Amino acid sequence: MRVLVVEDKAPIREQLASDLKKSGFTVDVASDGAQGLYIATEYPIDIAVIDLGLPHVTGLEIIRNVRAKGLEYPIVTLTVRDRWETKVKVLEAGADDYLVKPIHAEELATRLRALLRRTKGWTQAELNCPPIRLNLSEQRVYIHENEITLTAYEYRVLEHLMLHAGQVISKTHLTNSLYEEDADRDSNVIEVFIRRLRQKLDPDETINPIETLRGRGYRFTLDCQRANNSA
Amino acid sequence: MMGSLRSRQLVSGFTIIVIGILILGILLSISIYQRKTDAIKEELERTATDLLGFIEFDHGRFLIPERTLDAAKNFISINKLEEDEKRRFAYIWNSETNSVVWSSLDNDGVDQKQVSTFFAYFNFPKLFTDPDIGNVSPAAKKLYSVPEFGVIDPTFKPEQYMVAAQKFMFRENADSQTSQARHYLFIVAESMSNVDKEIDDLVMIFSILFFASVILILIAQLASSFWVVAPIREFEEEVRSIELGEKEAIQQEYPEELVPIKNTINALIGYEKGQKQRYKDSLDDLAHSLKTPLAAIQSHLEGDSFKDLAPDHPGLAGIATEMEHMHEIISRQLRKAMVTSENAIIMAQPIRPILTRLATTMRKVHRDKDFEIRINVDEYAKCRLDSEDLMELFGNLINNACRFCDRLVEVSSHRDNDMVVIDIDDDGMGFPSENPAKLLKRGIREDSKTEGQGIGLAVSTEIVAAVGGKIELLVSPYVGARVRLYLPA
Repeated sequence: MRVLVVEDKAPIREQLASDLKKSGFTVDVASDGAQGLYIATEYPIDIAVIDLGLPHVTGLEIIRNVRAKGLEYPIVTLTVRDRWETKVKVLEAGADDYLVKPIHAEELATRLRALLRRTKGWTQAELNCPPIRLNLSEQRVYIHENEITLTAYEYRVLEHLMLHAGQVISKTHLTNSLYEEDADRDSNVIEVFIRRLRQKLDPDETINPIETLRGRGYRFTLDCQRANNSA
Repeated sequence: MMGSLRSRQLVSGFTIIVIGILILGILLSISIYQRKTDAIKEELERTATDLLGFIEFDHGRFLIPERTLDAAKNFISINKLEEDEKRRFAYIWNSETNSVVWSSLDNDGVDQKQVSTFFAYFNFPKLFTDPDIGNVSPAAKKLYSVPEFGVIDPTFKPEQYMVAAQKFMFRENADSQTSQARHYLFIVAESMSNVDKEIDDLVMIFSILFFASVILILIAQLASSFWVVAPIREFEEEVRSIELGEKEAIQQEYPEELVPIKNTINALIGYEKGQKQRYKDSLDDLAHSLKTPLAAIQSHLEGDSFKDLAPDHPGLAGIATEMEHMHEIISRQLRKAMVTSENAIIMAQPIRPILTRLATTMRKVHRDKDFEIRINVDEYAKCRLDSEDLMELFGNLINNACRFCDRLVEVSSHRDNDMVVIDIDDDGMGFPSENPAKLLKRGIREDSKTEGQGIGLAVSTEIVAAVGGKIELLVSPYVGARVRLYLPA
């Protein structure tokens, strides 16, 4: 999942980026409002973390612009102003959640995952598409309740496909969600990850969880239980 | 009664005008009376002088000779000296015989029976010795009548007369120096009752005019007071509206005398608001400038610089704890400072729009939870609380209710005298049965930790207390928690 972090304080920005990368996110960063607004509206990001007190363009203006352009990805705001007036204003502008500084990396990652999951129609913390089950918070994958080991990139590809289960995900989209904008990309790497995932998820080639649609991309084919039955 | 400017103006104006008219009336009456009296006095003196010209003393008798009798009678008739009983008359008094020896009623002899009917008597011995009464020409002065000679009458009522008198002495035989000299007193008198009646009539006319004037003045005063005092009354109403939080400043146009007061009050209100905003902004900036470095320090601690240290390293853990502590203190002090003071001029805010905004926000914040928020507060419910404080108060309390409810949160309100009572109910577990009031105090100590509903309730308590309101923790009709707020309406 590709996350945009817009934060003008360098130590906080760098730490957030580092923590989110460790949590399995692909991170783009912006150090001011203008840069943040550009990335937020021009790049295919999945979720944004935006500080409210930014130079040039405020966080609130970025959120309003993003929503005005019809972009619906989740936005989490960061603020030092722990007042309901601020929270209400931010959520009314189109943000989906807010966090008051100082921020704990784990809490932020959890909130981002929860928001991503919810926006894709998942109401529970686990993506359950029998026989495959993916635990978002623990980043573990099970087949027939047996855990399998995936690399970080394999996990990200599977998580992305399962969150968008039933939808066609283009190779470009997958690449963008895996790599940061300035990263050196290999054109064949997605095919490699998909092949490895198929081998690990369906070694007997009986369930065919990932379908290749020639010239269009990939689709996760298994039926998923999106409703929260365990709540 | 004297508390209002209008009543003061009415009473003072009315009193001055009434006293003025009364004094004017009294002075006028005295003046008219005096002039009338002087006129009578002059006329009587002249009449007396002229009448004396007709009377002769001959052989011990006073009489008008035949040659002038017609002229004298005509004179007496013209001067009305014979008509009205005791109103106007002339006679000559003999001090030795203590009797009337000539009168304007009868030239030729005196009927003593008529005397008591037509004449009034005066204290003749005193008149004889009165230095004002001369013997050259008649002199007039006011005198009170006395009873008939030798008669003691307890029912006698003295009456005032203008009396022109002259004393003179004749010998019975003018040729003989040895004949006995007799002292006489010539009296021409007119009752002052005529003058009194004229004055009474004048007073009557004056009284009617006075009461008519008073009524007209009263009407004029009322109209004037309405015209003059109306702007002050409107000014007072506007100031009261500001006090009640219905207006933010004095807006109407007023007479130039009130403009400086209006400007001063508006300037004071503006200054108070500006000061409050500057105070808030300064604190907000202070909090921002403190919390951002704190966040940066935390990022450093969690970053690669300290990656070689174990997460439970005592130094790191201590710093992290102290930072959490500092963060809490900054947040709490900021919230306390933001709360508007009790004496501030606050415009009454409608509650429903704020609750509606919060309800929408809460559905977003608690989107994983399937519950309903009911707002049973009408559009007329208002309370005198700063809008940001109102948002903070309801934000904390409704957020708590949303967190702890099962499926329902309900906000309702009703009016209780000058307070608006707002209930925030949920169908959750409710407050602990033992001493729930301690929840309201939790978090007040600067070094205490926050948990559960404590911080939201504590902040809410501070906000409510600052405006003279009250907060109660009760059981909701849905068996969950009810937070009841009493806020100034």
